[in-house]
Amino acid sequence: MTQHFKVLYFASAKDASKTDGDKFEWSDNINAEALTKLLLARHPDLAPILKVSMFAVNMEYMDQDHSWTVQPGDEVAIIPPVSGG
Amino acid sequence: MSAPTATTESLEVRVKRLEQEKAALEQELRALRLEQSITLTASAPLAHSTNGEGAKNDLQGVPSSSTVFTPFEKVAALTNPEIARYGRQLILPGFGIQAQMDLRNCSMLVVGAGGLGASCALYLGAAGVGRLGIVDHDTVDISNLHRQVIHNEARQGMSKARSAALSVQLLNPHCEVVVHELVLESSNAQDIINAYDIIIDATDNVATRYLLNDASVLGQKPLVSGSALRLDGQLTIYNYRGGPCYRCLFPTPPPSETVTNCSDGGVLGVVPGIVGCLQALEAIKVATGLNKEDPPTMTLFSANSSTMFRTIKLRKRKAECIMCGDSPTITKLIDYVRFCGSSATDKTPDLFLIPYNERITCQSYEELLKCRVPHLLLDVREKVQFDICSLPSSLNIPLKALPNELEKVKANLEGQADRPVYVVCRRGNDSQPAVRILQENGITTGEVKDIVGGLERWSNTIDPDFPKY
Repeated sequence: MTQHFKVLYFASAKDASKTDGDKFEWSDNINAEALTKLLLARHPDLAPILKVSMFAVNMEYMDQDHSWTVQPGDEVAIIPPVSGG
Repeated sequence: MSAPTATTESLEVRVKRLEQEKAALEQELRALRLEQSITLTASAPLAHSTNGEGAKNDLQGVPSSSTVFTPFEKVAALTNPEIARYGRQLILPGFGIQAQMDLRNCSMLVVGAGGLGASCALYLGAAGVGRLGIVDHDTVDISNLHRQVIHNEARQGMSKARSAALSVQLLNPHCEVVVHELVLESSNAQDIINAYDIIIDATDNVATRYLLNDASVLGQKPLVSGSALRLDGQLTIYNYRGGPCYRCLFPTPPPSETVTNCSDGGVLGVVPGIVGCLQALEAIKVATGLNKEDPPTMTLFSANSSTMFRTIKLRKRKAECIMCGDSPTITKLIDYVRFCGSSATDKTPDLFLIPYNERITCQSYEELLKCRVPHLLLDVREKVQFDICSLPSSLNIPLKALPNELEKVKANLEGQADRPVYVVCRRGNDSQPAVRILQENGITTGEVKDIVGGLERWSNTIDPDFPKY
């Protein structure tokens, strides 16, 4: 059975992807770098935004390094800075 | 013979009571005078001047930035009028007199008297913060009032810092409000920030956010940061109890072309209002220690989502952070406008991408209309803006969609290969890259030009009935 994980887009990431969330097929070894590639393949307009965004997995901040991989059923949040006020 | 006890006792008590009543009356009088002065200034023509000078000079009673460097005096007890005012907080279990005293003896700086600062400053002033500084360089504009509810119709043209201070003062004369009418920048930020206990980032631009972060780290102040755009908001306390600073989470400033301001992106008025209220709440929690057990978090507000609030757990500060890490490389304030590649205001600057001879003025375009010169007018604003107002017989293709819709432009030349194309947008910025796209794709053999200053200038110089937004 294919397993999935969910991605939530906030603020300008939502505008660029034109959705507030979507589903991806899960596979082994999706680290921050691989995740970025997956996201860009689906939403090329995210390119400038991902460079400055923060990642959170299951509502917890994650460094953009190799210390973690996406697990099946995870909810990944893409959080770019909002600067208006 | 000793006088009846009632009289001897009451003499002293009566003096005290009358003194208190006198103090309360004086305060009420000050508030009334303040209100009166505002009404007077508002009716004077100068109050509407764009620089706010008239309004500024006529108003008494609100201290200006020089006052901030006078020491903030802490008190050992609340006065009776204060107890009467804060009664509902004083009887609140878990808050009470201790927390109220903490607020009274705390000074806070709200940077930005816009959408976030409006609700934040009002609630902080009302709650009983001892000294409240308000920073803003801008003046009140009619298009601010749908969200910046601390200002009002009569204060158009008045300094926002001053208008906000007056509103707080009218609401609560016990709060000492300090006005800082200036652009916060590397040369002045540190001294101002060092003079306060808690800093509130209610600004509207990237450069000032990094400046405030760095100055707060250097000055060892907690930074209650809020932001809002369109239907989204964010809230975090940076540099607090071992938590991260802004640079830990966002080490790289976003490229300026990806940053949207409220003027271009739009914002639902209540959204910054909500985030500003949350900032006031967090600042009160910091001042009173209510949150001292809480781990660092970022709250995301999405007004149009079924889950309006999400709380992201953050980590501790990053050891390798160049600002707050173990060996920081930034040890004094830098040039933030250069670092961010964007200005320290949220105003959209004029773009000069194409030479003037490839552009036409509103006047020339009007001539051309009068002479009925066949042409295509292409409006490259987003549809949501086009729907508000547009010039007759203009074709709407938003700039972003233009590269994929060139065939549609061609089809609208009605078979005339040299038909001129004129491009218009809101302010004459987006129209310039659009001209480049049309030229590069050889859309017509005729001229391709954009209208300098866009529809805003059209309204200002040609047709005052054309709406501005």
